[in-house]
Amino acid sequence: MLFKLIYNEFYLESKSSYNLFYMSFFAISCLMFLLFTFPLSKINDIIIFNGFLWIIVALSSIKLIENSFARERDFSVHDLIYSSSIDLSLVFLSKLFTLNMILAGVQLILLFIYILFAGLNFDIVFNLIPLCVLTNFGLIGFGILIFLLTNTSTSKSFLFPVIFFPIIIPILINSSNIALGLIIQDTASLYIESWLILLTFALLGVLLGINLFGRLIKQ
Amino acid sequence: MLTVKNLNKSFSNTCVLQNASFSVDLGKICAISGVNGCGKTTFLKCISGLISYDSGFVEFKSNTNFLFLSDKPNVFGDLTIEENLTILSRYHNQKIDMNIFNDSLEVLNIAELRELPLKFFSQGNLQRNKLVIAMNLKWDYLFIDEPFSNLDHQGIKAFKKIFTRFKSEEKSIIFSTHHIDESKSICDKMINIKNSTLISDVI
Repeated sequence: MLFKLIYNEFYLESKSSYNLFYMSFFAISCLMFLLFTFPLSKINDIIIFNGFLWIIVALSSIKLIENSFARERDFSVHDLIYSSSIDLSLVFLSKLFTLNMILAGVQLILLFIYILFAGLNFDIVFNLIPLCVLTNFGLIGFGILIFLLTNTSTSKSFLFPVIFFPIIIPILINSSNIALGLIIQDTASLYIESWLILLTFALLGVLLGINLFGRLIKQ
Repeated sequence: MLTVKNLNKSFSNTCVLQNASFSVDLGKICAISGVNGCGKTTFLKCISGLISYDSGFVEFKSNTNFLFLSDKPNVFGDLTIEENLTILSRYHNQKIDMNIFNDSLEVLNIAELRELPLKFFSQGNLQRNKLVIAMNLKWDYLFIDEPFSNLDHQGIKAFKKIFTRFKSEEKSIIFSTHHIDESKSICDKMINIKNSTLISDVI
């Protein structure tokens, strides 16, 4: 059943206007905007790129989550879906996996740009993939829950990023810490602790989502 | 049988439903009428579990399925009728029979629109698409909000014919409506909601 739902989500992502192509375009646009804030001599600095990467990942995750629910609310199909006898935790997991994979796709495209412009090599990119996937579980898991908590009415929708950002700051800081450790090949400082914090956030996001998604979607 | 007992629902301090009780057997059609804002949609949403209620209980006979169709289009706008139905059938863990699907398009006179994304459909054809969903998914109880709105005379006639067909298959339909005269001919039971209270059998 879960695979059917994941297939559903991928199918809807590919059919709607909010697919990987548009998300990648959004991410690259964000990167170009951010690059304007630095002098040209600094923009191939890997520390700056690393910071930009996680800012763009956070922004992309907000867009992805909003788009996923907007698609259901545009023509009010959500009543029909969420009144079915299906286990709603499976719907949460299908959204979590699908958005995670799409966000990972966006991250890979960004990392490919880094290979071209910042001299990153393929080995490092390969090592960064598990980090990206683990980070995405935390971001998307908490993101979906906060979105449902804050989107009870249109006037409150601005609260989503307002509440989301403080919660994901520890995720972003630790992801950035690990990524930098992998890039400069110095994994001594806070490396294990950062992985454990990311793992905690990912597990919390998934477990809270499984337990609360049904209640929040029907509020 | 669907049984609702002493259902109470308030929004903030406004009481919408007060001690609402009623029951519907399988194979019956029940219409809910009332002025705008009296709580028809809230009642349907409460019994389909889409919103929580303050007190009371809603009980279905075991192993019964239900389908809730709101007064909105209930579609993914970028998909065609068939794609939309396929996606919805997966959420309901069911498979589509293409013979029934083709038949439903013919009966509702929208076969020529099958390649068109649903976002380009007129309001009347979106309403017809709701019945395509109902004809192709398996259910015992259908809760449908304002089924006759946006329909022309032919559409209303087709809907009533299909509702009667559902009834002959021992399926129950509970719908809210303002078209009381149109509904009388097919309904077994009519309920009016007035001052947050259900008044049964006003036929």
